[in-house]
Amino acid sequence: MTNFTENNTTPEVWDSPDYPWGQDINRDIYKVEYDRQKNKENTFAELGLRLPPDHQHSTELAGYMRQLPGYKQTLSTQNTGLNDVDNNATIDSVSDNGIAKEFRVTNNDGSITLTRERQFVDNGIIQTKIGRIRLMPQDSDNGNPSTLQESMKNKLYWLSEYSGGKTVQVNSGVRTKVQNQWLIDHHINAAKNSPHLIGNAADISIDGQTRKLTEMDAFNSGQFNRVNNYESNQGIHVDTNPRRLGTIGLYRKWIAIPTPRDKPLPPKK
Amino acid sequence: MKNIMIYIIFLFEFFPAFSEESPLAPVQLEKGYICGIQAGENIKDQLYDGAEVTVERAMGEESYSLKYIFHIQDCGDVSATTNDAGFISRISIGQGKFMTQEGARVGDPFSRLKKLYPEGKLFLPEAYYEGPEYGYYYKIDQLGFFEFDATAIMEKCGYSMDMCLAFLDGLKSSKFVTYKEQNEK
Repeated sequence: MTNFTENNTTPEVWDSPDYPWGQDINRDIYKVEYDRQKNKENTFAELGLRLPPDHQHSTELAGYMRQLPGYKQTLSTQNTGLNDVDNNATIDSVSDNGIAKEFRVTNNDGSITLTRERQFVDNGIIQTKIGRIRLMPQDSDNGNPSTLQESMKNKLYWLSEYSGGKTVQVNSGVRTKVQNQWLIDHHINAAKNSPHLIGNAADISIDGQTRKLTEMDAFNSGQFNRVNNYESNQGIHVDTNPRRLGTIGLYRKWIAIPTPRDKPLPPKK
Repeated sequence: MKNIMIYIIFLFEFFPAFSEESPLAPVQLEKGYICGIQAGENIKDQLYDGAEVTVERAMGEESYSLKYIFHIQDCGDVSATTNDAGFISRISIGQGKFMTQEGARVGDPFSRLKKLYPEGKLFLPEAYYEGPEYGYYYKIDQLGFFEFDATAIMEKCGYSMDMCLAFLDGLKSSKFVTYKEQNEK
């Protein structure tokens, strides 16, 4: 267990108190806006308020600064190992399909951090959105990281973007039959016909967010048919299975919220 | 009053097993075994006349199962969960009365467990089971695992797992859980 203080924060020049003003005029312009938005985010966080939906997140502006010529590519170490912090995490692979770039970093504890940067044009301005997913090591698979189907991975990237670029942590993604049986044998009470078996589900948490907030973000993102809050260790279950009739797709301990019987009666004629 | 104090001091001095910090606490935590309850045996073998047992419903991912809590004299509460066939698959204890062969016990901080079992690995639960609201477990292959309830520190570390790990070293284990692997005889 090592330090999680200053040494573990993002090693980007624009976060440094000794920022070299005047070195790059384009970066300076972004830096001014970055500081403003960052202050706003901190103030809102201190007051326990949600940011307005039209808020341009500071991570987005950091993304712009990374696009500038002369930027030295280093990934943040904030998403490193569970057992040990890997301050020298290197990028394993970079894939670029012309629309988005995906970086893959293996951490010391065996977890994998995936970062997607995608660009799009909004009102003639090129915007960059960043989504992060961290695949956690799985006890049922000898400590190998969890896996995700491509469609579920994209949905979780969307959720990360929706949450302001925060890391979506995947405790369980696709489960093989062997893994599911291992969980049942160890009495972890995994469902026998779990949607994890066909890759339609993931158990997630969002770094730096309460479970309640993660539940609402997952539900409001509109990416999933069903969102269940176990209100325990496992986190939030999201899947694309069809929702039960008469429910809106939000559950707590698999009890529909609101319950169908809470629905108001139709007006009398 | 004075006599009572002398008696208490006498007890702790000459019978160290009464003391929570006693180095001579009996070894009762082994792989698949706690306090006379063995993983893999039929639950019926433990349900003899006079056994004090509470049965609770334990929530699963999409179903429920039964959890038997045995109130054992000189031992405390030991929980056992069974599989569909009625065999004990998982046993747990939440008291620090007993220790492992290497001297680890419930209530030990994470830093001590790491020192005793450096080969252990820290995990987050990947499927639902009844544990703390926020927690981790430190798995030691030859034993089982020690659970840590991080609910109290989550607010302090801003619900960020990485930040919470900075506080984990001092966090005390809240439960010892063990089971029997399917390929073990």
